[in-house]
Amino acid sequence: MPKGHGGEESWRKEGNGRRRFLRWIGGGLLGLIALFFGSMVKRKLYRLKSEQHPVRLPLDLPQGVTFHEDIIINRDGNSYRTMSARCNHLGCIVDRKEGEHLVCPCHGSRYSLDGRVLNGPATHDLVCLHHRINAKEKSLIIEPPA
Amino acid sequence: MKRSEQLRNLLPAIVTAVAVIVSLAWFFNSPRRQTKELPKVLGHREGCILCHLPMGGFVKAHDPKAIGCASCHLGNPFTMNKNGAHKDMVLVPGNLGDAARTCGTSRCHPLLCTNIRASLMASGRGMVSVDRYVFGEISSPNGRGHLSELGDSPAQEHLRKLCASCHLAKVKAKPAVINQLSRGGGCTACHIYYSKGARGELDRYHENGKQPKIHPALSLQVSGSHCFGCHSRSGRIATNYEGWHETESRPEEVSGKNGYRILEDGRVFMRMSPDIHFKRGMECIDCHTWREAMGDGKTYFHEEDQVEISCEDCHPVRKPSTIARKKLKEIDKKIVKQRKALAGITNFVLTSKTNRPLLNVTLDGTGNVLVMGKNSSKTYHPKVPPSICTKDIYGHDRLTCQSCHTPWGPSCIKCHTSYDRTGMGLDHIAEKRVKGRWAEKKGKLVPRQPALGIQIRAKKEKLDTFIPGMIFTIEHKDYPGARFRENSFVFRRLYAPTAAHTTSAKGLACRSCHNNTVVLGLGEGLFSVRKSTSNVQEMVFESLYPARKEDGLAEDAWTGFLDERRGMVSTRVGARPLSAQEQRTVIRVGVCLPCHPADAAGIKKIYKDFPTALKRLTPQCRRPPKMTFGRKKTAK
Amino acid sequence: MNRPPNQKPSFIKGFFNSWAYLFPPPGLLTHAALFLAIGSGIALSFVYDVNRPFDSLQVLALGNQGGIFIRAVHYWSSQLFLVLAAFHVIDQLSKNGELEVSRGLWVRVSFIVPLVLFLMISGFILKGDRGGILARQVLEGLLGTLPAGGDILRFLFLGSPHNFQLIFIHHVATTTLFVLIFTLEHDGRIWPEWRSVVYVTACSMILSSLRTPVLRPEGLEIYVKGPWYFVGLQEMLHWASRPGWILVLGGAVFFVLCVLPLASERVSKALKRFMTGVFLAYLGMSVVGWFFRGGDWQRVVPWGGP
Repeated sequence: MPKGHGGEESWRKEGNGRRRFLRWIGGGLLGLIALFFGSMVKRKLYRLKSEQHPVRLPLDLPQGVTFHEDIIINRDGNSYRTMSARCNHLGCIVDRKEGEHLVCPCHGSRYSLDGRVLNGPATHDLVCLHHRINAKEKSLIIEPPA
Repeated sequence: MKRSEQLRNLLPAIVTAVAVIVSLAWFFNSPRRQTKELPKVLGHREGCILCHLPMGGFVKAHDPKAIGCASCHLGNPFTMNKNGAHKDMVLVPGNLGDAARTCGTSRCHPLLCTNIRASLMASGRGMVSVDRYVFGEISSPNGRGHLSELGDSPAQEHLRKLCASCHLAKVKAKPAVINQLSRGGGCTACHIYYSKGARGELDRYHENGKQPKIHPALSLQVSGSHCFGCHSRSGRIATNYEGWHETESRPEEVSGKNGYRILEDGRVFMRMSPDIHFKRGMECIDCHTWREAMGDGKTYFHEEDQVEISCEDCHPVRKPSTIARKKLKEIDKKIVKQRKALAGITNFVLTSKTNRPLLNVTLDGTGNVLVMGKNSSKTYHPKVPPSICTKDIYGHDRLTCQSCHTPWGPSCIKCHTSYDRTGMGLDHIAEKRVKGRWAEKKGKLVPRQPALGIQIRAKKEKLDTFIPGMIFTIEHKDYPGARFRENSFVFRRLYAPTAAHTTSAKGLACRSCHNNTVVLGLGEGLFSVRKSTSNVQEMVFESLYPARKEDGLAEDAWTGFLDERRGMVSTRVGARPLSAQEQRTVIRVGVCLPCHPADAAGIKKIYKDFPTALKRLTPQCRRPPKMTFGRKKTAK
Repeated sequence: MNRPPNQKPSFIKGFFNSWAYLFPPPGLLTHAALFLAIGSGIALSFVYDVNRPFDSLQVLALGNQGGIFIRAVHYWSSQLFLVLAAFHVIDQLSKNGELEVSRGLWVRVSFIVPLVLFLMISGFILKGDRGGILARQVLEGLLGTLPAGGDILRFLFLGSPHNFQLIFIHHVATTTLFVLIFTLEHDGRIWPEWRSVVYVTACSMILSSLRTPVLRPEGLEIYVKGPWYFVGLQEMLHWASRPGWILVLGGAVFFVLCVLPLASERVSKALKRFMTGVFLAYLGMSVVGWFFRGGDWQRVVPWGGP
């Protein structure tokens, strides 16, 4: 490169400019891929949520409390109370009954049999789930949480 | 080369050598079992089955192929290393301390394991309260207490040394066949059954450590022999039921003689009339329900509160209520499904006391009660009570069935219990001999008809059977602790209510009560009517036994003749002997009986409405009765 | 920001001087432990089935002697990696090591801390036993407490519910790759030093022989505790009705670590004291959680009694 025309300096400036341009292009392309990735994740999350189907259980459940995956059913005679078994502290599944309490195994939160929080660290009651009875099929249909 | 550099070069070599040696040692010590298929039970693999099966003796519900071994015995099913697999293993899973993790997990029997902790069979609450009440440590026999949580006081020490082995919470340390000496074990106290083969395998295991090939069955097959050990003590209902009364004889004195039985603990029993239900082949569980034995979750003071059955349930006066099979609770449905004997029942009779189903009692097509033997599958047709029981007879409204159908019960009088600080006694909780011994000097053990007394049941007065369980003195002046010095010598005269379990098919004759000083609560003696010095006819009672200096009553009496004894008279709140008026009423009828027997005609004409009959007394009746009954002291 | 680069407090100086007498520096040992964990993890992946994780480990534990040993080596090498990494961090912070690298590199090196923690917990979750499932639920819950994006983060880190595929990928690939890259970048060498390899491998083998990590049967235990290094977090979560603040505290510590090179000497000392305080408090919580907590995280007395 001839000197006096800015020489290596000007080439370097040119090189710097090109590098900066390439960086912007590269960043842009990666950003585009990130957008596609974000869209993919969003779609997947949406699909996961929509794949939540109602749970069907037989009506002839035992009296008292039954644990079924992440649902708690409390049957008293012919009336049912359905709740999410997810502890409101951190979402651990409450899967044990001790006396008249439902106990979370992770940090010891306690709930009454109808889902009211009695002892922390949880501060809210268990989420009530909607259910309906299909008398013909003799089944209890429990809707997923909203 | 500096020392540190030398070490830095040498140390890796040393560490490598150690690692290689230790790893090779691990490799050669770890089991290299040829694993075929790795069995899966309850969603996980079970290594236990690979070493311990084939093994027989299980019922279907508890077969390792269904539930594995680790769900009961814990340990670690995920290793083939013996020590690792057996670490934290539970040898006797039924002990109540372990039950929450074994029998009582959420997949198995959580409700029963919760209920049983409050049950009297586990806590012995009544025993603890009554004993402390008798010792004067608490003011009422209705108290708290648990045989596994005894504190430091003379009564609790007394329980620890003499009584505390008989409760379900007592730990059973090793597998053992259920026999007369068995105590505790939680669920396995009742639900373990050793077949002959299983017994042999267990013996071989104790002898040479050889792995048993037959496991005892865990089943609903609870026989009378499971109950016998503990219930042959205290009120002796197990031995009474089979028709045996405890004597003071020694085994060598009765060896070879008929009519005696020597138990495994060396006590000698003599033949008496057994309970009619035993004679018919019924076992304890044919009457007693699972809720009575294992508890219903509620806490009761005494056994009669926890018992929910009554004679009327099977021998009904009115048509009993029933419940359909499909309306049973889940747990009842499961039990019914398990028992072949109950397979055909569609309706179950409800208890009159608690309105809960009796799972082996039903009505036939004509409305008669049928009782199924739970283990035997026999069918029993209990009789309906005759009209004498069902139609009111004057003065009999407060009687219970057992008042007339209990010909005998054990009577124990004149005991002395003292504390010896220097002697050694077996602590049944700690299971070791420790300093301090309670020495019991037993008095007479006599089989006789129980006394009648008043007990409060469902807030009503009932005339029930009582026996002298506690006519004794306690002395504990040597018991450490200044606060126990007061009341270190006490005398008690307490009768206890009993269901003697010696039920007779036929009711006792009227004279058995009305002409019986023991039934009146006076103890044995001679009752007579004679002229006094002032020419007045008077009723006189001479007791057979001498009077005690502490209260002037005879050795075996509950109350005095025409006495009003109140206060600390029984081991139950509200229970008492017959009052003076009640004694007069009983004797007044008794006076008529020698001449006017209580046959059908007599009952109809006189005893059914006794007050009206009294108005029709003939001149002959008005003459003073020459009447004596009871036992006279014989001159020595 | 004019700080002399090689000042060390006396106690820690004494400790690491003694260490250096016989053993390679903690950094080299950490490097070696990472490689051993990766190597043993690759070996284990031949028998691990992500579709039935717990079952595949049970089959391994019951029927594959070599597999049991490899799993044990993987476990112990990863525990050693965590402990040695902690020593390395303490060592470097004590001699102002944050000033010896560029700021960009320091931030990347700081990222190793949360990545390593995620690596450890993902390994614990991948066991698929009751403890792993509960740990996953806690982590899902924690991530879910973050406002605006908690759900997405939860999915990005843990994947679909009841599915271990993404956690597995993160454990064996994503997180491991980033940790490896950042480690090699700041270490300046690719292959671990031979003496460190010998020590770490020998220790792992000895520990594996003496104490093979056991699988705990699901459903046969009333309670499980998390891994020992997260017991302190469990104790903190027990007290925190709003668990999001725990994440804030963790984020604050991480932020402090990242900006250390920018601080003056006085501020740097104060920040290091803050981090030491947090670390000691966490140790204290770990002791409480390990020894004084029983079933349902209720208080127990380790020597018996009520």
